[in-house]
Amino acid sequence: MYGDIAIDLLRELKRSATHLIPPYNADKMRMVMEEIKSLYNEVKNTLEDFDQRKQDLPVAGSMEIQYQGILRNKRCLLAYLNERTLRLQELRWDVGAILPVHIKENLSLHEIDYFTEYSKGLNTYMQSVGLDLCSDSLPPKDLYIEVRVLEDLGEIATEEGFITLEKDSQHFLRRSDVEALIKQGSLQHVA
Amino acid sequence: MASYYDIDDILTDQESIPVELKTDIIKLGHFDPNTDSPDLKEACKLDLPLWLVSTMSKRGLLTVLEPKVFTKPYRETLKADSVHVNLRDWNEYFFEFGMKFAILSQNVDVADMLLDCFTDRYRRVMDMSQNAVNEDTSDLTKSLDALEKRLFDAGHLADKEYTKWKLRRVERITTALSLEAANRKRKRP
Repeated sequence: MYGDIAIDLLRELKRSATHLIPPYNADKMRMVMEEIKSLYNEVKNTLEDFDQRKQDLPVAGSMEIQYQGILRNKRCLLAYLNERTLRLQELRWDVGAILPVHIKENLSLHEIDYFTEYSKGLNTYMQSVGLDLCSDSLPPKDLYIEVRVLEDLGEIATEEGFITLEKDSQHFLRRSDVEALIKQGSLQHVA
Repeated sequence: MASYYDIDDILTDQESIPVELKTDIIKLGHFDPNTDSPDLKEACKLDLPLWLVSTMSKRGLLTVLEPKVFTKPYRETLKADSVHVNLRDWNEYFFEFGMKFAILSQNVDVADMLLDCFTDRYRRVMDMSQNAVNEDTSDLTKSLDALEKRLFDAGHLADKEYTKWKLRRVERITTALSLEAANRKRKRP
């Protein structure tokens, strides 16, 4: 049936965890676009071959079905791209402007472009209002928090100078300095 | 009306409905596995996806028949005891598909049945979602259809957040969900 490959794409997205971006399936995208083209040609041929009878139900019905097939495929492809874009936007708010490598692998070139541009737009906006909208997403209770280091990070700059973060060491640091690192999964917030 | 980009809505439209053609249709013989002719013949019976059926029935090309899960025996089963039926086995989008089908075929019986069935089952869905804080929920939700599952997830999330708030865990910063899922996948050998 028309649209079956396109539906596969969407099922693939549904199967993956809600916040994960699975690898961009360029093969299937191309196959669906081929299907759209071939449907379009079929409709065109029917129109030429049956010019005199194009108002008849058997001919019109056939073209209608193929035309609906085109629209259906289009809707599926756009929904696929849209859902991925939304997840990508969410990622920008969660982990900041730098794309983690293992996520970047799963994106198409256009999606990487989109992420960069989206990030730029958000930065420009945050500069114009003079506020980092990504920090303190939850109301903070304490100025300092206890964190455990999950992977070697080397030296980082904080408001109170430099500090070396070695794996498995524990530190009492300013919340605002480490919030991003916790979100990126390099540190753990110990209560 | 669902959004154009709504994936659940698109997948609902993929469910198939048995139909009977009211007219010949040229070229599309490959839709019917029981014929070798290149064209479709009048009165032949087919299973077509909902997205195709709805436009074709508007144009008077076909008659809509009842999908198996909305036939009388199935309706009687639900009437007898809807709470213990595994709706997901019947159809993953039972309610949403049912509503679309009821509108399409003007079938009042199906519409009434859906409402009764939903009302009967709703209490249990709510109850489960509010009492499963730290459990694996896959066992609880395996008999729910997609709509009920969404309600369950919403209720479950709200309950979890409330518990977190009561225990004063809200201010703890956690790894971003999108990364956590990716990391889990990456670390698996």
